[in-house]
Amino acid sequence: MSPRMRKKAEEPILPSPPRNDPDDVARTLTDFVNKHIMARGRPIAPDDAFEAAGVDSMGLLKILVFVESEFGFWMPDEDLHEDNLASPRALARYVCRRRNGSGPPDAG
Amino acid sequence: MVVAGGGAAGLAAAVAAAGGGARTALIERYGFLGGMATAGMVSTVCGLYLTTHAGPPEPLNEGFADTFARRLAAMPGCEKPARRGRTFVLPYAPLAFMSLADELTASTPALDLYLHAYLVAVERRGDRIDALRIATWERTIELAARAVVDTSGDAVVAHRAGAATETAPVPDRQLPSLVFVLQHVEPEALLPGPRVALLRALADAEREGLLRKGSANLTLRPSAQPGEVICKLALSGIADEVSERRDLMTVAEQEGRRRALALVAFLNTLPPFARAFISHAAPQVGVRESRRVVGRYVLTREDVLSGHKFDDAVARASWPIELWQEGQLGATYEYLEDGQSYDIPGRCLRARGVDNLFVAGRCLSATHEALGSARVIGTCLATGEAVGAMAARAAESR
Repeated sequence: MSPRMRKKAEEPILPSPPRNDPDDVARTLTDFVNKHIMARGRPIAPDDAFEAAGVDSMGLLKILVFVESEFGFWMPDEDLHEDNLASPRALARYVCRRRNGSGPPDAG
Repeated sequence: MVVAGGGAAGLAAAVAAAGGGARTALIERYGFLGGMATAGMVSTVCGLYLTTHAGPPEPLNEGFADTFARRLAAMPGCEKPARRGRTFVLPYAPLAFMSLADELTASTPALDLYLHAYLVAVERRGDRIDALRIATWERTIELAARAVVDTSGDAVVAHRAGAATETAPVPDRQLPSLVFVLQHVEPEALLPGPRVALLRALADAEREGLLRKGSANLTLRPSAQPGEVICKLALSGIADEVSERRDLMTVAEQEGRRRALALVAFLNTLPPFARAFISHAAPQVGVRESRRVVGRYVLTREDVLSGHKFDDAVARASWPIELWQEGQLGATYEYLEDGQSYDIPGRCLRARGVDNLFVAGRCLSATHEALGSARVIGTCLATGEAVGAMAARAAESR
């Protein structure tokens, strides 16, 4: 039994959050941004535009790396456009679309 | 009075003092004024405007900073203030910056400008500096001074005069950056999406060993000229190469150019950069932090982030604490509350232990974190003007 499976079995009352819920994913992304990119002062909200909030392209790159490790797939270059990268909410929609099988997630 | 260092702060200080009638000498090591704005080719003036998420640009400081910014924006190759996230910057062409500085100094009769002038010695008697000895291209000159302003960026006068200074150890210091300019870049390469894809490709190439370590720490900004992109490469991982026989700045300059060339060779393999080449690179790497004065007050991170107001305020600032540190890609930003600003107190512009020594610009009295905000060019213009007036008053009362 892998450690991960054992942990799950021990915590049946607290299931891991539904990872393909856009609100939940948006919250996860927002938390990451506020903790690791916007170090302090006026934290961003899920619907805030990254650019207006002061997240630069280097910040977006950090978010992509986070998406890759947290949700287990790679965003191909052609998906890196404004519609998907505008805000935590927009990116969350993309993440959930990918996880819901419109294009199978890459092996993570 | 004598102003040592002709960057943004020194220019403002000298023009303010001489404009008020004080006979002023301004000394500058390069053949042009502007400091990091020109020699470092920073190419955007930060810190001129209030940081707020909405609304038009609101100048933080009237007087020299605002006048200079308006005139600069109207010069060839320059642009109007541009929004960058929560704040505004003023994109400019370095040649325009130095030309405007030429114009301002030439039209100020009480100002003697010495270009290609190096500080040789500081003559100190008791708790005052009597004179600075400088070497120009042609001669050595002793400049008697009733008041001295250290706008060297590196607190060179303060250090030589034996005033209290502080220097962060190299590994903790903010990273320097080399600015270089690319031509013939296809415009679609820097749309938001492709730009992130590009940065990811660089990070991958670095991880795979195709690029030298640190090469991905790159920011790119298209200028107003078609196909031109201003690149800023933060020089991480160079501290280890510093030795007794090789100073940080020697390593930084050589490693910076080497990385830039390798980087562009890699970029040339990507279609939008196939024809790109480096047309020019900054004459020196941009220094964000070096030696600074420990003055009569030391500005802190808390002062900055809380928007602290002081009774002896001489300038307003609002730029986030922007830190470029070893081991991280890009910078971290700590913002003030939206629409807030903090004051820089006059005591941050006074050296301790040397009565007639004043300081402004990057080497003012602040902690490492506070300097991450107060070091920017817009703030240098404002503290420079303030210190010019302060030092001129001190010289007069003498």
